Amino acid sequence: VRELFDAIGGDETIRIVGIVIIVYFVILNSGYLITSVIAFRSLRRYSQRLATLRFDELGAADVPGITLVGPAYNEEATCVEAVQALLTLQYPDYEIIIVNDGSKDRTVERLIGAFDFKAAERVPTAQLATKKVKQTYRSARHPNLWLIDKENGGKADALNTGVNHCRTPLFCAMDADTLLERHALTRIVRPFLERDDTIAVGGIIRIVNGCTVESGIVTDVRMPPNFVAKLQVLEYLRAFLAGRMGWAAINATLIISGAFGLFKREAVVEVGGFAHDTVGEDMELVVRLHRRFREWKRPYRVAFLPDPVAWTECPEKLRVLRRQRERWQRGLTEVLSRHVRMLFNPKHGRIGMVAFPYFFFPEMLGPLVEVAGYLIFILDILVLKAFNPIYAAAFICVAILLGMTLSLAAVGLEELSFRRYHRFRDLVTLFALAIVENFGYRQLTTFWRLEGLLSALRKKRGWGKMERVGFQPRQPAKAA
Amino acid sequence: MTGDEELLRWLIIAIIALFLFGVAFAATATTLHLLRKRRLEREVTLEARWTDALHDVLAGDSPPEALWALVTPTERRHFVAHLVEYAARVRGEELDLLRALAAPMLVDVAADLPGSAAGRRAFDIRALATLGMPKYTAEVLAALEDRSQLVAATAVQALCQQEYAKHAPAVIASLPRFASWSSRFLGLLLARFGAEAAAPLRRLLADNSASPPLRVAAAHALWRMGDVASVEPAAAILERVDDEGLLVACLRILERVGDERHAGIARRQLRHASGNVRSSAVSALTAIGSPSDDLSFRKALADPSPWVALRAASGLARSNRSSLQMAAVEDDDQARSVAREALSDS
Repeated sequence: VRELFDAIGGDETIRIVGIVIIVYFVILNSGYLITSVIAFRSLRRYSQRLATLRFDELGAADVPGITLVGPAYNEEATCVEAVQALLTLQYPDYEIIIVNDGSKDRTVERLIGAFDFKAAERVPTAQLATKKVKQTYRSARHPNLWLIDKENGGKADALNTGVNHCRTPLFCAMDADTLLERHALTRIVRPFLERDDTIAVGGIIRIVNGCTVESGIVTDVRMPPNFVAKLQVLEYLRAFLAGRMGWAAINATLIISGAFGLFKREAVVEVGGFAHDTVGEDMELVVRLHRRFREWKRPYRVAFLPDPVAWTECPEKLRVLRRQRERWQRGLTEVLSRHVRMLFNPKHGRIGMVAFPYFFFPEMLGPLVEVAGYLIFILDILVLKAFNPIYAAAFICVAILLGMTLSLAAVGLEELSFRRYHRFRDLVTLFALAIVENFGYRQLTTFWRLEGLLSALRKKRGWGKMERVGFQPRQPAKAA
Repeated sequence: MTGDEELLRWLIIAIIALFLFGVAFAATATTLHLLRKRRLEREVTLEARWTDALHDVLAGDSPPEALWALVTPTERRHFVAHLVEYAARVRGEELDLLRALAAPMLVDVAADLPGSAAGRRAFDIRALATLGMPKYTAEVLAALEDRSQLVAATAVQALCQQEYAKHAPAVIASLPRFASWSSRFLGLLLARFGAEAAAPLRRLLADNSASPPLRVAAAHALWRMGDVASVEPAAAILERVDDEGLLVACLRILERVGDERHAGIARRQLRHASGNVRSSAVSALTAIGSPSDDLSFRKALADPSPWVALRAASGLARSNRSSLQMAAVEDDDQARSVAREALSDS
């Protein structure tokens, strides 16, 4: 190994790789740090707005109508409960369109049975290309509830079918198993009222594992008992409160989660709807909206709000989590490669010059650098002895402490804003996770992300299977 | 010091700094958690105490002094916030009583206004507008010009009430600051002034120098109010202006308060290039047109814009069901589907 090492340039090569790793490390963590600081200011301002500007007082009067589009594929286990939850939402004017994307199980039969769906005509209002619609149904019991049964075409295809049949100015893209909080729509619609040029708004996604759910409503928020799920709670806090909140504050939101996003229907139709050929169709749409609106020189705004909450089930098994992370990274890579013309393109303003490069280098290519760093470190310890072990140990300490500090900052943001974990024990658990995740979990997710990056380069397709445990109903009190 | 030693020194500094940052963040989060928990517990206790006493005062069972005695000087701001929340749920005499209860506390709130931060100022304006009018009218009106848009927006929202309709011109004058807001939402706020504000809103609608979004907001407010007199400026705009949003807003006014004399104006918009305008024209004609428009509706079933076709079908469903039934059988694909949907809906 030593000879091979010397043949490829020896110490000089490893020094250059070392510098690349340090530069990557500085840029990545500076990005996190900056978005955390911006998020802090932004959250404070947002809380002040909430306390003084009362949009909920307007009640039923003339808010823009919203269509909830929920694609369903083999969701027979949770679809009825999820739709029941949607029917309890508090918003004056909304429709629900469940799009069955050619499920192979009894999703359609269960929905028809539960909600008394009858075949009904529904003329499309847009012509986004989709697979063939077999039948449209309307619930005899809930006139605002529709079911579209179509041939299988993937999530983007199902969403586009929903958009084609949307009759309201706004539509909400969501997963069929997402649980929206009752006031989520009233809250997420606010940016559309405050700014006419708002075209998309994302809400926060929180993890439902471990929480008590009654009739589709999360009634008791708790940390998940499962360790893998616990780690994801912290990750989600960091990603949404520190990350997306910060990017949104500088109008550079590149991702709106597919589990919960509200879009101006007309804008989405204008840019051609969701892309069929990527697993990151949610991010792709947002990037395309930025790209097109900037090219057309039309004013627009993509926002993120920290208080409209959608609850979602996260993987509890490492192999399922691995598939999810691999898919996310694959989606990210596909989207950024497709729109690579935006990279450092001043025509695209802060998106092209700041957000896109940040997602392209540290986020997309980051796993490559990180894994290279780990490999060199191991190689060095075992064979090369090129680094001074004291420096290496110090550098690792800095990396771990920085990761821990950023996670603790995210926990602080949660406490500052919309604290959902009320128990002190949960706070202590989050602190512990901020330390523990640096030993093994971060490295594991980095490795999975590298797999995703490589899969995207190999043009791999497909979603992988998500195994759902189902929501936790209220347990009877244990006898003392 | 060699380069390596220098690097090591910086790494050690970074480790110490990050460790301290980490400890500081954890301490901050813990403090926030505990403070918030304590504050919530205190709020629950205080509000429970105040609410009982407040109910007694509102029921006339005890004098206001009994309630004031329960509020210490440090709790005054919190007490005002409690009354503001409560005020959203009451009207008439009860609201007047709340205002009387808040009066001694509002002196401090008004005095704090000039030097406070924007968020606090906005809340204070909300409190003064909800509980301190007419005494603090000058402060609330001055807030329309506040350097913070949050404060100004709070003032607009607080003032847009029927009882403050005389301040509608001042609010309307401040509207250019809110030109980026949704016109429909602004219209909704303005409509809360009621009929007394119709005249200045009509002037805004007819003002060619005003920005189209603000004119749309005025049109929307007038539409919500059902202001009959706004039909003439709306009709005049339809004859002269070609802003899509404004045309749609004016057609809605015609639909609501127009009559057959305005049908010709709406009919001309059936040929407009924008599907939004055409569909609004169809809706207007459904309300104010004549049986002769059924033929246009039948043709509109095949309009390239599905919105026009759907509105036409719904118009036919009301005025000429047999024509719709014929379309459901005889017409081409789109018209047939639209007709079938309208028939099943009606």
